[in-house]
This record gives sequence, structure tokens and C-alpha cells, in this order.
Amino acid sequence: MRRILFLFALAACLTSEASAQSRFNRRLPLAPDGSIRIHNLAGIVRLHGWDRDSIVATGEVGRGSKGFFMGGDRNGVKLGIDIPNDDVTSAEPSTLEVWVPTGSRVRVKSTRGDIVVDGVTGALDLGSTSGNVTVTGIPRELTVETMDGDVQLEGAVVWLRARSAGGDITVRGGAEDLVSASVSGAVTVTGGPVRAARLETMTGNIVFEASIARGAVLDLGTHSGAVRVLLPKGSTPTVEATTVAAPIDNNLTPQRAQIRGDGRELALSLGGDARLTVRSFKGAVTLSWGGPPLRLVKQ
Amino acid sequence: MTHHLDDQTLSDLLDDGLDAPARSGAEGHLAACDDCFSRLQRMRALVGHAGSLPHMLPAPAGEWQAIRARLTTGGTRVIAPWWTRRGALLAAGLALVIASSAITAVVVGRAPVGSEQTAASPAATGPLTPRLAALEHEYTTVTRDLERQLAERKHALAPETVAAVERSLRTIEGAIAEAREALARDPGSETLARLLVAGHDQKVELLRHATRLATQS
Repeated sequence: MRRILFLFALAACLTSEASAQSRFNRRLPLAPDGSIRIHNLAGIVRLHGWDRDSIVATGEVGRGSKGFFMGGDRNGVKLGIDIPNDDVTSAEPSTLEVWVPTGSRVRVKSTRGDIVVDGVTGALDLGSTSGNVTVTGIPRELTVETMDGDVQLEGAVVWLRARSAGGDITVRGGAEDLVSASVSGAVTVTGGPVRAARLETMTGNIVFEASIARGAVLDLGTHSGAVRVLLPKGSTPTVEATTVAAPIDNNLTPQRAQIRGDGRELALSLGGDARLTVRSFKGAVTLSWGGPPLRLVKQ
Repeated sequence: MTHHLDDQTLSDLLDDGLDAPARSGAEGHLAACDDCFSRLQRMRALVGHAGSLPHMLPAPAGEWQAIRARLTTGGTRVIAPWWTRRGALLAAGLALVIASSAITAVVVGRAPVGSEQTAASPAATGPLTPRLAALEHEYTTVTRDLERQLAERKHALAPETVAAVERSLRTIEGAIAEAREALARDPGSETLARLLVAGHDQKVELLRHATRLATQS
């Protein structure tokens, strides 16, 4: 009996030690606009901006990974979880939580993990194959690329490029210059104001329900997704909508779309201080008033 | 058409680096100018091609010694390395594309004489305007290169990633085929032309993304 108890106690100690070894907490000094590269292929990355000239990383290394690495100088730091041969199937998910100076330039790469960012005002370059990417705040530049993961931005961004094959892309907030493309996922933009946007899908739906800046240029294109545009009352863009084989439902004015073959054409000038173009092969197009209160932005 | 868009403007347009009025002006010009449109598409195809290249290439044998020798001669003015300059990058990439394709025929605005046409090639499914046909040829060249690279490295991708890529490719190819068929019936449709180009763009971007993932794995 004593021997059994001893074995249990030993096992408990070993488990505890293994667990303790897999946890990490590291800090390095970093310039306010320092450059950071983060790799966590098989687990979540949580990234926070803070008003300190340092970077802190905490988390836990999943079983099967070689361990946590972190190095660099005041101008740049690289950190992440090392997986043998980068084979994500050989390792359990690791968690990685990182605090960086708000103005940092950060690049995060994952394969199966989600990426969650808040409070970073610098430039972000985020990529995950199947994980979701969520950004909250006002990054200056944001580049996101996923294969199947969804992308969400809540806040405002000066420059945004988001691309996915099968994931949905959702932007809630303003953007100076926005390009979002998904093959089969939906692309949704709400809030605003938006100054320049190009939204493209093959089969995914497109929803644009945002206020637009004066002089805005908006270009929406899809093959077979439904396109729904809800403009704030008082918006005065020029609207051109064309479909090849689908209806256009215009609720902005009494004007009906012209029939052209199997498709429709509609040209409206509501004032002309912005330009909205919609192209669709066979996805229905709906234009309506609605959306958030109009917030005109001087150019 | 006297005031053509300069390379920098086209390059900025490609990088989404123009502000809204400048972009609008450039797009207006492109709608009316075949020369500039063709140059833009060549750049676009080039960037897609260059983006798929490995990040690092081994230096030729003896090159490092030569560089060291030049550095140790002293008094050399420090300038940005040539490979960091956009023009040089474009030129290098263009050289690669020219070397691997029949792009010179596109430059003069007609389909390449005697170019190989397979059953699956765009020209086999219907007539397009010369400009669009040339453009499609460029896309096809870039796409084939990317597909070849991806096929070589596909084993490095997770099965679910390969499945996602193939699923999306089928979706895009279906859309391209439908747009081409419709263009055969209505060759003058700008909407169809733009949708066709958008489909090719998405295909190139998807293949580029997948190839990069496979290279990094």
C-alpha cells in the first residue's frame, strides 16, 4: 500500500513538474514602434497593445512541441512555439498571450490557431490557415489572410486588406482604404465611414451597410452572391449597378432597373459626391436606404 | 490618348496605394486606354508570379567572395541594395516572366502565334476581344506556373488545407467558365470582362496564398 501511495505521489510530482515546465513568462525591452514576429502554428495567439516599451509573452506549450522561443533586440523580437518539422498534427495546441507596445508592427502566423488582437495601433500582418482572426481597435494597417478562417475587425483602420478562401470577412467600423475578398465566404461592412472600398466574392454574399465619406469610391463585385447595399439616408453617391442574370431591386428611388438580356442595369445620380459600383453575374442586388446615421467626412 | 499613366501610378494602383480621387482618375483613364490597361495587367500578372517566388535564393557560387572584395575596396557610397528598389524588382520579375512565357506577344496586343492551346485553355471555349484574350493568356501563364509549384509542394500542406484550396479553385473556375460563356455571347460587356478578370485575380491570389503556405511549411 505504501509503495502504491509513493508511486501516486511520484506521478503527481512529475505531472506537476511537466506542467510547470511547459509554462513560460518572458519580458524583453522593445521600442514603441518595434517589429515583432510571432509563430504559434497549433494554438491561439492573443495579442494586446499596451503603453510600455517592452514586450511580455506568457502561455503554455502544448505536448509534442519543442518549446517556447523568444529573442531579439529593442528594434525587433521574434517569438513563438517550436513544433518539430512545423507539423501541427504532432503537437497539442499551445497558448500564447503577448503584450506589445501599441505602435508596434506585428506579424503573426498560425495554421490551426485563432488570432485575437486588441489595442494595437501600428501595422498588423496576420495569417492563419483555418483559425479565425479577430481584431479590435484602430490599427493603422491591417493585412489578414486565411484559407478557411473567419476575419472580424471591430474598430477603425486606415488601410485594410483582408482575403479568405472560405471564411467570412466582417468589418464593423471605419476604413480609409479597404479591400476585402472571399471566394465563398460573406463579406460584410457595417458602421463606417468608408472612403475607398473594393469588396469581392465568388459565391459569398456581400453586405455594405456603412456610411460613406465624401468622394468615396466603392466597388462591389460578385459572381453569384447576393449583394445588399443599405445607404444611410442623406447619402448622395452616383450608383451604377449591373447584373448579367439577376434582378436589381432599387429602393433608393422610384427608378426601375433597365432590362438587358437576362440581366439588369441601373444608373442613379443621388448627388454625385461619391461613387458606388455594383457588378454581379447572377447574384441578386438590393439597394435600400438604411444603415447608420450619416457621418460625412471632409476630404 | 497622350497622357499615359506612369509606372509608379500603375504600381500604386496595383498595391492599392492610391487615394480615392487618384484611383478614380486612374481607373477612368484605364477604361479608355488599352495601352495602360495592358501594362497594368502585365504588372498584375508579374506581381502574382513574383509573389510566389521563394523568399531566399542561394547566391551563385563565388558571389559572396566577389561582394566581400567589392566591400573591402572601401570608399563605396552606401546606397539601397538594388533588390529593394521597386523598379529593379519589377524588372527582375518581368525578366522571369518573359523567360517563362510568351508574354512578348501580349505586349504587342495579339494572341501569341502558334501558342499551345489545350482543351482546357481559355481560347478553346470562345472568342474574346484581343485585349481580353491577351490578358487571359497572361493569367493562364501565371496560373500554370503557380499550379505547377503548388503540385510540387502540395504534400507539405495539411489535407484539409488542400481540400479547401481545391474546393475554392473549383468555385472560381466555375465562375470563370460561366463568365467566358457569357462573354462569347456578349463580347462587348464591360461588366462581364471585369467579372472575368476578378475571377482570374481571385484564382491567382488563392494559388499564391496556397503556394506560400506550402513553401513555409
